[in-house]
Amino acid sequence: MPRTIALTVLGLLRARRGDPGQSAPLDEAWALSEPTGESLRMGPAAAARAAAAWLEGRPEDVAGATQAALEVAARARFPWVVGELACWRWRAGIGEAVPDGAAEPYAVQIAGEWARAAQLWTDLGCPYEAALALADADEEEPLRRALNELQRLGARQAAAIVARRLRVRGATGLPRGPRPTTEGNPVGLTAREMEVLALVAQGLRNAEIAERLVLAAKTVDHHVSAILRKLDVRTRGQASAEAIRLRLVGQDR
Amino acid sequence: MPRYVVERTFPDGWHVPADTEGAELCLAIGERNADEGVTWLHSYVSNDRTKSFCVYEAPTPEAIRRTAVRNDLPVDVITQVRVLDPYFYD
Repeated sequence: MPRTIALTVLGLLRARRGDPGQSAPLDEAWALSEPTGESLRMGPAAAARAAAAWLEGRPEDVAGATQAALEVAARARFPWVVGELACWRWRAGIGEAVPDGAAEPYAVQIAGEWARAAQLWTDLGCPYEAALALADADEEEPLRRALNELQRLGARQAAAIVARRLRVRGATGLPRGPRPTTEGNPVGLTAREMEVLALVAQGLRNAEIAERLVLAAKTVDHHVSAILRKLDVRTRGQASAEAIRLRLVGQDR
Repeated sequence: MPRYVVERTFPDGWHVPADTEGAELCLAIGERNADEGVTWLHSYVSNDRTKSFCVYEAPTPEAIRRTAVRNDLPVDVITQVRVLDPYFYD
């Protein structure tokens, strides 16, 4: 069980990011879960393969990827598994009645109420699902919101699909994302550590820094150790170079 | 070990000075990559320095992404590649 989950998550993550090598872990997850006949094992593996097929522009593969798992889940009445699998089949254009007992956000989404579905997903704390719900809209504004959110999440494949839908509608000036630079202080230094780092970068020794900031020498030692650890470097010289590269301190030394 | 091309975008340009500071930067990147079993082979950089195509050997795409975060480098696209040698048939 844990192995199928790990394989499913790995494959799904690669598929969503558009990274290579998604099919091997997903195929293995399915091969391990299918013989069990258990919907809580088959469902996530089948849904991940359906997602990968859709993201790669192979919607015709969604039916085969989900058929067996959906039958098992419908018999066992697992609303979230039924809902997820039914939603992928609906998204892939398979016209069929929605099975009873699909979880609400999926049922609402399949019913075409993308705005309410997006709100339900947001309330549940599922931003990726909320963005995919927005992507079902037939208007430019929600599609742009979906695109921004997917780019923020690093979901490159879904973002590309939404960008294509926008371009088909004649939308221009689309963001090229993902945002390439980390905003703010990227390594999580505290204000005091930033002060100490600035003095390290000026070439001061710990005793001098302690004197300057009116701190005990031992406290400065701790701050310097924390700085080296957070910057992932071994020496004060490397810390200075990192501080300049990450623009944590000015270059005027 | 699988080989990958990693495409990166630097809106302000990617500047590695050709002096000891640049050498130290590259060395630091190499050391952090080594922790993940990632090897940076070389890179092609556009003339305006806003795009780079970096050739890597790495165990997985995730290892490349982890080292990119630690090195504060952006990642656009990771593609697994094989070498094609046009002079193989000579």
